[in-house]
Amino acid sequence: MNEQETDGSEVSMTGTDGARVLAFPRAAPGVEKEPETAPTSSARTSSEGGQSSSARTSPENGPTSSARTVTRTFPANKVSVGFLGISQGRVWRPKVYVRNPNYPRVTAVGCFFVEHSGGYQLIHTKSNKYLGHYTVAAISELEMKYAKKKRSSRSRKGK
Amino acid sequence: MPRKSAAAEVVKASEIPPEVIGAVVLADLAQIEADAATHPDQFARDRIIKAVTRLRDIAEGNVSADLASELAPA
Repeated sequence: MNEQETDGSEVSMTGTDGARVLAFPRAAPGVEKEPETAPTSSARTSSEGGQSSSARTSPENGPTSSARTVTRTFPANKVSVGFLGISQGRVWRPKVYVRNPNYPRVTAVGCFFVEHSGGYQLIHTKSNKYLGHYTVAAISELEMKYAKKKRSSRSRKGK
Repeated sequence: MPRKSAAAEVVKASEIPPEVIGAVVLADLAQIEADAATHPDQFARDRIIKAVTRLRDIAEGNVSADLASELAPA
């Protein structure tokens, strides 16, 4: 049976010789299409040429496996692109100068901490507005992940 | 007379830049993780910490192959 599955998210493409019929996902605006024969950098490339349990595309020809690879890696790329604004900004970083050792040893661009109610309020510097209140335990979590590691003092012992 | 706090007004998400939103998201996840430690139900605590770890990985762009396959539609 040569019938192709074309649901709403797929676009069928017929070659000039009429021999190869590929199905690939419709590209979202702003997302580049991957070449159909090149292996992707993400996982799921092991399914190339192999058999899959899902009967998504016609199983007769080889190129259908690459089409399946593109289909499965697309959502992951979409997810990572959507959150790169947060991840690439390096939003939390260790403080360079520690004026008050009781204050958090981490800072974020455009924000500052104010001691309040046993914890710390995060304030937006530009608008001077409240962003959230964080307990000392939460600040400790932030420091564990983003603060500079404390130097372990090395004492030279006599040789 | 009580001193007027600088944090009287809550900022809207549309007024702050994305990197500040990212900072708040990561700080909120740290707060959830810290509060999860005091949760009386051990299984709920484990679920919360697992969810927070996954959300932090997504927010920081650390999408592993396993996580990508979980996020992909069946």
